[in-house]
Amino acid sequence: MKPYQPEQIFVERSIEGSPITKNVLDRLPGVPTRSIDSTEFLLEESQRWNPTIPRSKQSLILAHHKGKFFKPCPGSRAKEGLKGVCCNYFVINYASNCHMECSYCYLQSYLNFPYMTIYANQVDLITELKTAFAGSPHDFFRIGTGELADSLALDWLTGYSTVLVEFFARQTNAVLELKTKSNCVENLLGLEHGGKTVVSWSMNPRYVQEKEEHKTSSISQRLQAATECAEQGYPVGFHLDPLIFYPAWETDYRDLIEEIFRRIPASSIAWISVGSLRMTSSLKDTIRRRFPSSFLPLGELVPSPDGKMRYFKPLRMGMYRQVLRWIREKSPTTQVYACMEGPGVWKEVFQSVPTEAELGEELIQCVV
Amino acid sequence: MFELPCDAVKMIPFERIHSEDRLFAVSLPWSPIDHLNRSVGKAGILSPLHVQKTGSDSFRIVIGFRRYLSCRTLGVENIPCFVREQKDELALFVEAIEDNLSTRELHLLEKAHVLLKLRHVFKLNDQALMEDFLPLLEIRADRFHLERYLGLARLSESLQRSLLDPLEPDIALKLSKWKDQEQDFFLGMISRFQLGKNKQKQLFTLLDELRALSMQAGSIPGAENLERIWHECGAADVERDLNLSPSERFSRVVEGLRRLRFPRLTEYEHRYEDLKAALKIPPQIHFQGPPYFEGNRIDVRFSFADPGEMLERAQKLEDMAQTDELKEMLDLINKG
Repeated sequence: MKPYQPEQIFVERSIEGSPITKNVLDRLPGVPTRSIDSTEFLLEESQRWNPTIPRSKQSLILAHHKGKFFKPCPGSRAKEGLKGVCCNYFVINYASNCHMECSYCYLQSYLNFPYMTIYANQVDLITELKTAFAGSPHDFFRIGTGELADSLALDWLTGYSTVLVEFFARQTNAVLELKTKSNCVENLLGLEHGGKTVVSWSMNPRYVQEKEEHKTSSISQRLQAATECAEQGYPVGFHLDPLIFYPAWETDYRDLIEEIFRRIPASSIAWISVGSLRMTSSLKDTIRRRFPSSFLPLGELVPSPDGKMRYFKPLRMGMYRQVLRWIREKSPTTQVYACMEGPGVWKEVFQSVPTEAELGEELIQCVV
Repeated sequence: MFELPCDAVKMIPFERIHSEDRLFAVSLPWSPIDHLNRSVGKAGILSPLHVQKTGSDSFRIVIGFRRYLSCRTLGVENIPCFVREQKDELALFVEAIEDNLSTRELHLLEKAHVLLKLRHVFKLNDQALMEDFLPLLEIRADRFHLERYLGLARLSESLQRSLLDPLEPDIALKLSKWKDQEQDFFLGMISRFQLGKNKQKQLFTLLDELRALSMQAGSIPGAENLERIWHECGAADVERDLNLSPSERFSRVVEGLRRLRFPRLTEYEHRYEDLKAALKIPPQIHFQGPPYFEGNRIDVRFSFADPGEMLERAQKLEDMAQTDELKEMLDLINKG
């Protein structure tokens, strides 16, 4: 992974005393830093000046998160009828934006605050989680931090993982998932995780990683990091998402799956998810503009009922079936699920259509 | 400070006004002025031009380039003018912009050239353009819109001329990334098929993506590459088919391009249509599969005028339900 190096840092005054702020500033000596009362003017500036995405990412904002950190996954909040089969997932938005440059990344056309932002009021985050867990003692929460940011790519700067892993280790009704395309696991090694943190990697064949996942850790580095985490007793997960169709996809994905199971014992793998390439038409335009050599927007993508474009159904169902078969050949019992797919695809690929509660429960059983 | 032209109107001989100095021009030299010609021809120059002295006996135009062109077309020998004493060129240009805005709606290209001139000739920075001039030109004041307009002003002259009619600005900006001969090829298609906004977009998107695919496969961009795509999808033959109306020809062309762009999808669609045809569905019954195979249901609609017809349709539907073709259609949708 190419490490993040901002050109300037803005720190909201209200979180100047936060340990996360201290960690970041200690690790980035020499980067010009400016105290600000609020981030509002930055939003106004970005709307007015429309800086390029790479330019925006050169500014790191250490901000005070004023809303809720903890939310249901947006997939589960989609309108009925447009909603796929959901897995009862929750997200913690501890940061927003990512310095890595995957050509297909939805953040490019999703975030209206385009700067790299870390929310440093982690005491509020922990308080919010405690309240939520205590308020629903009979519910079990599966929570990820990788929705609006990579869970670990900035961990060498923030040390956020230490706070979260140690907190979740003490919880009886929650597990944390740290989802990444990096190999930044140093902070995790040696922590008392209690088996309550799943460290997971988005995976694609080397061909796709090299062509489309710029600035990320290589597949070998990711697998090495996963091996280290598995050796430390962490359950690990893999997300074959987005699955990409190209002439050699069958050989490459099969090799990837074989390599995963060769390096990581099946007993250490909590789950594997699959999901096909998807993009809004606005993201498609952005990819073509920003990554003219990307082959992804030139795939056979068609509009789906939820407004996103996907490989047309027979094509992606064929991919899911094959991938599932290759996983099953290696491990008949590893939990595999599809992300953002409807009941029709589930029925044909997995021969069942679980409810949100059922699938959530099945995934929790993989960890506890 | 705005300086009112207080001198009396002077009649200045046509040849003493040098229109090639376009420092203050807001209109484009190739914009049509037929309407203005008719008006000047009928009533003469009602509103004097504003000019600035550039030598002992020569002038340049500050306001009134279009009226000057009309005078040239109509052979007017002496033109009524105010001679401006104002020396501040930016102030005069702003006046020219305001004068134009007060009398007509500016074409987006004129706005684009005004902005380009303000940036490159008058050396104004982006902040000044966004704060003072985008609102004046009724453009949303942000960098995105500023860059978009500057991009339009930098298009080749042939694309800019096409923007007057019928090329769409968004397509023009994307088209500017193509080579000149490729641009000509596309402009030729627009004019041959007389395409409106949506069809231009449809054709451009297909061609642009096929062009990108062929380049990723190693083809060299150029008109020959587009010609090859055009032939490969059968569009060249369709174009020559005089039995088809222009709109039918365009539909066939799009169909051919789509077949190249989405080979697997169109193969499924054709298989589905073949099966549907084999069912011999009567015209009173309509089958509608899910768009792009996204979904798992076929909608059926039928009409009848009396109970007998209703039973007849129901019987036909029951017969169709037993066929292998229907089973295969459902498999295509559900199983892929």
